[in-house]
Amino acid sequence: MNCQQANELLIEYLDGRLDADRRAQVESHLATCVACRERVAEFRALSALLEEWQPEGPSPAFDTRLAERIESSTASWRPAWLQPAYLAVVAAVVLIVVGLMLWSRPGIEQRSAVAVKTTPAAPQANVQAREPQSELSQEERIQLLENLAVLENAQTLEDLDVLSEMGPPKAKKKL
Amino acid sequence: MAQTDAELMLRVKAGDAASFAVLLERYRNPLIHFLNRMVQDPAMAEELAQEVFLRVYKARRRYVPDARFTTWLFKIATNLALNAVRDTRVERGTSSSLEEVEPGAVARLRDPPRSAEREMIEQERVRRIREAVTALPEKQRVAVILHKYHDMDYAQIAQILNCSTSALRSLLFRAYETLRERLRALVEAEERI
Repeated sequence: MNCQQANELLIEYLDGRLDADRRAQVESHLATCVACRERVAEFRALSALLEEWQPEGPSPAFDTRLAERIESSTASWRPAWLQPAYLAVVAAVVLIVVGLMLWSRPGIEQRSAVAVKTTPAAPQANVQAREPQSELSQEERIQLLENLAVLENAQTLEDLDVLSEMGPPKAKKKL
Repeated sequence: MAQTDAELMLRVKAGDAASFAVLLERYRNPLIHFLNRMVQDPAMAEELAQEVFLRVYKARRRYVPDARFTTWLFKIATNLALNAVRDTRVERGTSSSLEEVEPGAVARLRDPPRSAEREMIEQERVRRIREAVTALPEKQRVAVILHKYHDMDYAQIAQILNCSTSALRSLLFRAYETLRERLRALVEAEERI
């Protein structure tokens, strides 16, 4: 082992992170090289010197401030009415209301009645029942689609934030 | 038995705020120390640490334990710190954010008490250490701080710096060589102790 090869391993040697084989190689080189021995001694002294630099810790208000920031950030991030719990309740109410409206429509009753009877007038009555139902379904479909768009936008906003934090998926291999 | 960082983070992901508090308790101080050494400004370091934890919290739903939590945490911190240092340099138009010791400050203190004198000497030593580390190129500075003060292994530091472990080995050696030269007087005094 020459000086250059030894130098590459000196820091790990001082850290005690070399395996037995490589440690023996470094020690064998140090036994014959005064310059590298001096460098090791100076690196040890440098390491002790660097210990003197102890920076300040956090302020006592750190956790409180962080909690406030998280709260305000998540609040501005997604309005309260878009919280999952609210959305679930809203969705349930919408479904119930739509269901009740559809059920209580006269056309539905007519269609049910017509479906039971087998009179010649049945086809006409059935057409009359379907027309208002078709108009309602379209309204509801639009409303639902609008709600879906809001939900998707909220999720997309959230994903954008998360994706920006995650960074590139793979680290580069080289400098 | 203490839970691992990944286990805690998965709980945070599932909505457990208490697990986030455990992670905060575990890494608040190391993170602030790291950022303080990077930006040399306690107020800015605290602000950046808040931002790091905020980002971790916001990203909780996307968390996948495919790397060590500390690698992710310190990678966010490193990027924020380097950006802050660059911005500060541009604003101040200088290459260093360190305050200078006022010339003649020592001379004005007539016969200071020994403890005060000793404190001044220690402050001066620390100031020189800080300056020497701060003057290192960005990647070397990050590598030295993570290696020396956070006891991270080479693989982890290499991941944070987006380099190979062999490149990191050279990077660290060059950094410590530079510090050895710049702090030679202090190093030699330390050797005599």
